[in-house]
Amino acid sequence: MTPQPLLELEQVRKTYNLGLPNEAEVLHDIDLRVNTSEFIALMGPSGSGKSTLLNIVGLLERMTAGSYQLQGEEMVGLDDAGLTMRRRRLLGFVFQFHHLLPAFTALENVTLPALMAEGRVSDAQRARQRPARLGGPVGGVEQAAV
Amino acid sequence: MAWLGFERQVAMRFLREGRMQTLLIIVGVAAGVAVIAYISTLIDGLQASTLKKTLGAQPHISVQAPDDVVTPAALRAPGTTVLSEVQVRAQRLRTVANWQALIPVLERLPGVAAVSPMAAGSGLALRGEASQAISLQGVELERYDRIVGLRGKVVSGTARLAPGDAIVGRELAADLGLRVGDRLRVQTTGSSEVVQVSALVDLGVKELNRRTVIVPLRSAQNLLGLPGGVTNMDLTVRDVWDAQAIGEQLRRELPYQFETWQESNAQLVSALNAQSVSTSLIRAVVLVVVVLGIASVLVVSVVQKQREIGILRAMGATRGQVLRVFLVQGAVVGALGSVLGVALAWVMVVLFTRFVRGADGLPLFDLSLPLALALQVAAVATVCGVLAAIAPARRAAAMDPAQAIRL
Repeated sequence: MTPQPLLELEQVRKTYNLGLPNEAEVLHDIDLRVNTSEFIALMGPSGSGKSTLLNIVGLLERMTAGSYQLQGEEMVGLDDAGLTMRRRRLLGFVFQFHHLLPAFTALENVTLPALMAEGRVSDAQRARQRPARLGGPVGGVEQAAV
Repeated sequence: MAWLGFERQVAMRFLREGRMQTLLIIVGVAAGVAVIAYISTLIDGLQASTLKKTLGAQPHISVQAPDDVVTPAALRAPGTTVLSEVQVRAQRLRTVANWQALIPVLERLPGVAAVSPMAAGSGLALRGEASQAISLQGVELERYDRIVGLRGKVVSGTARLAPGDAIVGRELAADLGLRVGDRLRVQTTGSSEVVQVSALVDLGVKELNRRTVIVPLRSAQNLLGLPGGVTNMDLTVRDVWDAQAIGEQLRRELPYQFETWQESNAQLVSALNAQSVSTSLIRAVVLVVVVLGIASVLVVSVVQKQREIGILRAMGATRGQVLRVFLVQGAVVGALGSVLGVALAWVMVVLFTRFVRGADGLPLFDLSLPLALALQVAAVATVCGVLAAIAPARRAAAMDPAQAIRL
């Protein structure tokens, strides 16, 4: 069976301070394809543009040029609300330095997207996210980890 | 979907997380609300008490016959200059023309609560060898009671004005050695009559108590030489502050002289207005301080929570949700501060009435924090909390998530 592409980036360019004297192009014509169930590690020296690429893949930043298809849908041209909704529904982040919101418990951190969407978190949703040693299934986070 | 469920929960967690900061700003709002509520209560109480004392023994509008004026002997021919000196006429007691017909006309006016005819003039009260200059007032008791609440001012006897009865001011009774049931002679320039004291009254002003003798209207008409006439009509209006407008309207429509309580107490009205303006100014300044206090704390909170805001945005919180998180924080701080502030104001009012007393040991005036005022101040403070949060909230909502996380 042919693996289905989860996300596909083509000819992605990212330039900071476009048109200014301190203009800097950090990504030059990047192509990246990640299939469903695939685990990818992105490696490179500091300052090589890893975070910028992940921010673009995670819909936190917009690219300067190129195309990005997430689950077959083109992300270029989506407005802020559109990107926000796809971040909420399709993506999850594990940040390098800031792990969780300290004002919330670990479980609450995991259920925050449900709270954002519904205004409340049901007992069923809470139970689904509960780790095994606390009496629930593991790996229940339905969002794809990028 | 729970209304603002996400925003409420995040706002409360953020407030709880910055415990000391939150507590300080709530106390700050409470202090502001307490000052506003207490000052408003104090000034309203003081003004109500002053008005009650001032208007307790006088009508809100007084109707009198027009002044006697000198009629020129001949019309001045156009283009001529005439040197003349006109002596102003002495104003004799004059009756309000057609006063019986005027009563229903005045009573029908919207805003007018009571109308009372009065025949008033000066005279002497004589008892034995003692005599006192008096202000003689002839009234119909039922109507006059509705103007000044005479029955409530009786300190001895029963307010009754049968023919031959008189109600006398407390100080005058003391000066003449009068008690209820005693007789005295009332003398005017043209007549005199012996009357019996049915009640002693305290009109709230010593000078009035020293010279007031109230007799039946008919007796006063006879004593003052005004058979069937009255010198003035007293009006009470439902809202004392409407008196001026009603007076102006009457002046335009009827050929009589009208004097409102504001005109006869111009200095008092100026003082009350100055007091109201000062109070409003203090309230506005305190409100601005409260708004700035809430805004500054929330601005700091936005800066402190940049990373959290970035993470929330990365997780899929919309700009609107982030905006509302901070607006809810402003509302919560405003509402909690209001509740605490109103409670504090109530305590201050209780302490004022308990410990600040006049020379007679009684409270200076009635003072209580009205529920409507408390609710109004609390609502204004809560709205101000939301308004104060607008700028910080917009700043938080405008944050670029990638930038916020990178910081």
